[in-house]
Amino acid sequence: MVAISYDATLVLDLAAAGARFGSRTVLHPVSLRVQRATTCLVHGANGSGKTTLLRLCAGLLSPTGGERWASGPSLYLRPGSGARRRQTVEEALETARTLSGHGRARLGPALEAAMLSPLRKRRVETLSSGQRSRLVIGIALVAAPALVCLDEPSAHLDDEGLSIVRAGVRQLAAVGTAVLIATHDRDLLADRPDARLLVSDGAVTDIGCSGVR
Amino acid sequence: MFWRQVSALVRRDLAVEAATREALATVPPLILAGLLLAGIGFELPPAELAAVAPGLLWLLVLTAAVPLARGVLAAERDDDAWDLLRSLAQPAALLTGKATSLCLQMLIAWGFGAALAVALLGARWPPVAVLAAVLAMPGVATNVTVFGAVLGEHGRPALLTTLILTAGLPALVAGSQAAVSEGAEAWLVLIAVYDVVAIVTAWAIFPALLEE
Repeated sequence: MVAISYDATLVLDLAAAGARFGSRTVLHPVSLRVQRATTCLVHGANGSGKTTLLRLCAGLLSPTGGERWASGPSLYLRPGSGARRRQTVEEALETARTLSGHGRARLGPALEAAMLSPLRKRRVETLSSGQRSRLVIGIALVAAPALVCLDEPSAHLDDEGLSIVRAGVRQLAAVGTAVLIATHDRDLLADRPDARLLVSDGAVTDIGCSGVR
Repeated sequence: MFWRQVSALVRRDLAVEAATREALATVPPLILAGLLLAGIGFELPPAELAAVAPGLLWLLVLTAAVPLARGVLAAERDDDAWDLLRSLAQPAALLTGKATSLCLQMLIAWGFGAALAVALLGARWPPVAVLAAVLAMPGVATNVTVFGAVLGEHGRPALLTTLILTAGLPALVAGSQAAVSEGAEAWLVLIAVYDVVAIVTAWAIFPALLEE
């Protein structure tokens, strides 16, 4: 078991939490404390357990051992997820906003930040892969829960899309949201992340962070 | 917060239905075909045909609930939208929102079928029969929501149909009898009990159904 913690106000506490599918262990027990307004990159080879770790952190996967505590709602998003195909971009963000309990004032800035304003009346099914990846950032911004877990958010993105992801992550951290990002891109964020996790064969084997307690 | 989430989920589902027209393309033709075939195939005198119409309509509405159940989970999974709902909506709000939108669609289906049954089978609908349908639909929709969440992604329509028809039996019997027999009050009480059992059971088990 690897014990990990990093700084600020706690939004997520995994205590020796692991995951198994049947008899197969897909994530060995890990203890992880995530603080508000922090960013953490999660690296690892395909099939190493990054997605399982993120889904466990987001509360979508119940730990088969140990415990998970979160201070509030957590959101797991991968490119193209989070909206019905026949919804418009605006409807998709509006759903996320209303379910999160935020006021209408959040909608416009989120559309702007994800550069989705010109697409607001377009149906999700008509968006390109890159535009759908930007939609995920828009949803994260309008929901702004305690924790956002982004799974390969840079997939399908051009340079402009990448800068939208970077700005979006910065904005999320600025409003206090903790952001966990699974990615192969070690330079995904323009700013230095608060922590890096390396997942290998279902185990968190390495960490580099600026605020270990 | 609970009711805001319920309202958001209902509006979202109805907007998606307005855009896809999946239910519109499935349910009215099924009910129309069922009533037409019964009228032609049963070869009953008009009075008897009118008498079996309430039960027949309930059977068709319950059958139509099978494709509608796709909207609970299967369609959400297909669009990769289910995780967002699980993450942001309280389990009770998710259950209530999904059941409410199903309930509205099934009530519209029942109303459409009732009007058709008047035209095709000479059915008569006393006010208490309409009241019975309105009262029974929340319980039926709640059961359909639970079964849709359990079986939606496994693609077992035969099992889903069997469960929905079996769990809908009290609504079918009480709803039909309220339309054609004396002493409708007793049937309304049965429907109320059916609703309470369905809703309490669903509230108790639904959070566990959302876990992976």
